[in-house]
Amino acid sequence: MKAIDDVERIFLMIPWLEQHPGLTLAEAADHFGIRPERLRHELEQLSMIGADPEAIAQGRFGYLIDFEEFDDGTFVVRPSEYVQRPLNLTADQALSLVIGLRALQPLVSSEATEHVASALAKLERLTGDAASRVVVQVASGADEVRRTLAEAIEDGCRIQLSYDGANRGMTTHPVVDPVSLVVRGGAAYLQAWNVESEGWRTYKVSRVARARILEDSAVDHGPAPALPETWFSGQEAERVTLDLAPEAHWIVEYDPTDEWHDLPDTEGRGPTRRVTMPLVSETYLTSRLLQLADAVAVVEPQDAGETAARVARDALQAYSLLWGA
Amino acid sequence: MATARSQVARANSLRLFELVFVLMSAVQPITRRQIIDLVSEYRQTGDGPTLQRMFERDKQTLRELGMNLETSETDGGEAYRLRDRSFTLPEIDFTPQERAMLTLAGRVWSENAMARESQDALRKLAAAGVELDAAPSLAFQPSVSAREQAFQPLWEATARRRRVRFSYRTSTGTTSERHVEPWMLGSRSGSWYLIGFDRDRQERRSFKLSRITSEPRAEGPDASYEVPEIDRAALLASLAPAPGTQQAVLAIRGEYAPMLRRRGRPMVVVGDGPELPEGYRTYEVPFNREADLAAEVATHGADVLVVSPPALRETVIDHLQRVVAAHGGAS
Repeated sequence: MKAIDDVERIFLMIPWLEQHPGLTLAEAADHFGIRPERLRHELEQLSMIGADPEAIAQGRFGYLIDFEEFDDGTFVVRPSEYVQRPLNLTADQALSLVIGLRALQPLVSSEATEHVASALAKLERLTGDAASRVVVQVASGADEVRRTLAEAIEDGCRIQLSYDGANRGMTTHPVVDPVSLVVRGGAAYLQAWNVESEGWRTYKVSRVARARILEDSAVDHGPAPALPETWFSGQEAERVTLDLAPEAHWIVEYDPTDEWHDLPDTEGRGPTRRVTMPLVSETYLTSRLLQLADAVAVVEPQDAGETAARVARDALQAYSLLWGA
Repeated sequence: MATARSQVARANSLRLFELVFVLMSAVQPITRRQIIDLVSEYRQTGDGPTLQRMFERDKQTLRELGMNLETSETDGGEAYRLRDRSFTLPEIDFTPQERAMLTLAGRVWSENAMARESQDALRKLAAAGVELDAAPSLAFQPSVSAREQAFQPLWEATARRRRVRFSYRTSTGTTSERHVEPWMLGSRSGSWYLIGFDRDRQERRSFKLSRITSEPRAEGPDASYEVPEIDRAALLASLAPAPGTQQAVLAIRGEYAPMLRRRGRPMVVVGDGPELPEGYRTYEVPFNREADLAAEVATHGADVLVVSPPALRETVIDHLQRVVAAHGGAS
C-alpha cells in the first residue's frame, strides 16, 4: 500500500464517516478493508493535526478533524471544511465510468437511455474532454429489435423471435420469455427461456431479424444461469488441433484458442501455425473447415474433417447436376 | 518487512495530510520555513538534505493527487500555495434513476485495471453522498474488456496527447516501428483499435491493439499536438468492411444461410440457365472480394449455390474440391 493510496482513502473516508455516525470502529474499518487499530490510529493522528495555532490557543476548533469515541464502542468524526469532500475523480476513474455508461446505452430501454445520457453529461462536466477520445461500439443488431427486447424485459412480455442461426443453421421462430441482455466479447446476447424446449437459451442479438411482443405475459422461471466472463471458456470441451497456412493465421485473433505456435518454415511459403482450441461445437468446426479449405489441416482428431468433406461432395454433386460442372 | 514498510507508508500518509492541511488553510502563499515549522515530521527532522528529499517527494505526490501547487518568490524565500480546490470532488448529485445506471456502469469492466478504477470512482461518489443500489437489476449487463497489454499505456498517451511509438505487425505479417499521435481508442466487435496520425506515413491510420508487439512508449511532453475535430463514432464504424460493389446471384434453400439472405435482396432470374430444385429462392448479394464470398458460400454446402457470375461459381467449385482433397480422406 503506497502513501498516495492512503491519502486517497483518507480523503474519501472522512466524509463517508461523517455521513455514517453510530458505527463501531470495527464496522467502519471493515468497510475500508483495514484493521480497527489502524483506523483508530489514523483518526487519532488526524485529530491532532492543527493548522491554526491561534484558533487552538483561543479554544476554537482548529484541527483537521474532531474524533470522539463513546463507551458503547461507537464513534463520530466531525471534519473541518478542508476534508469534507473526497478527492476528485482521476482521469482513469472517470473514463472507466464514462465507458461503462456508454456501453450501457445501447442495451437499455428508450426511457433508461435518457437517464444514462444525463448521468453521462454530469460526469463529463467533471472530467473534461479526454474521455470522449474513447469510443465503444457493441454489435447489438438493429435499434428497433434491441429496443423491443429491452422493453419486453422491463414489462415482462413474452416474445417471438425470428432468429438467424449461426454455423450453417437456418432461421427459426422461437417463442421466449426474455430476462436479460448481456454483452460478451463486443456482442450483445439475449438470455431467455425457450417456451417450447423448456430451457434457458442465449441468442445473439445481431442475429435476431425480428422480435414481436405477444399477448401473453412472460412467466417467472427463476434466475437464469450466469454467463461465463469469457465466451466459451470451453473447460470441459474436447480439443482440436489445426495447422494453419499463413493466409489462415487470422483465426487465432477471432476464435478462442488454448495455445498456438509457429512451426519452422520448411517450404518457404511462410510458417505453419499450429493451434489447439476447444471444440465449441461440431457445426462450428465444419464451417471453419469449409471456409478455409486447404489452408487448414486437421492434426487431431483425424476424423474431424469428415463432415466438411461430405458437405463439400454434396455441393459439388449439386453443381454437377445443374451446370454439368 | 511488510509491516515495517506499511508503517512507513502510514507515517508518510499522515505527514502528507499535515502538509495538505497546512497548504489548504493558508490564506497567503506560505514559505518553506513556515511549512517546516508547521508539519511535525519536518520540524523533527530539521532542515538539511534529508528534509529536502522528503519535501521534494511530498510535493511530487501532491501533484500526482491532482493538486496544483504554485511556487513563488517572497521576501522570506520560496513560498507555496494551492491554486484552487479542483482536486476535491465538486458538488454533484444524481437522480435515483441515474444512480441505478451508474451502478450498472460500475460493473461493466471485467478483469483489468479499469474494473478497479470504476469501483474506486463509485467509492468516491458514495463518500460525496451519492449512495448506489447494493443489488442492481440483472436485466442489463454490458461488459467491456481490454485484455490487450497496449491498452493502458495508449489510453494514458491519448488522454494526455503524447506521441507514442511501438512495433506493429500488419495483417500480411510484416512488423515495423510506428510513430503515432493518438487521436482516439475504439472498441469494435470486442477488439480495441488506436486511430491517429501516423508520423512516418503522414496520414491517418488505424492500428489493432492485438497486433502491437511491443509496449507502447510515450515520447515528448503532454499536449504536443492537436486532435482534429472528427466524428469519432463514424471513424470507428468506418473500420468495418466497405459494402460490396459487385453483385452475385445466389440460390438459397428455404430458411438456410440467414445472414447471406439478410445482406441480399430477393430477385427473380430471367433468361436461360438450369431450373433450380424445389425450395430454392434467388437473391442478389453484393460482394467485394470473390475469394471471400466463395469461402462464405462454401460453408453452406448445397444450401447455397452460385447462379452467377460464372467465374464466382468456378471459384466455389474449386474451393469445394480443395475441401474434399484436404479433408476427405480415402473416399
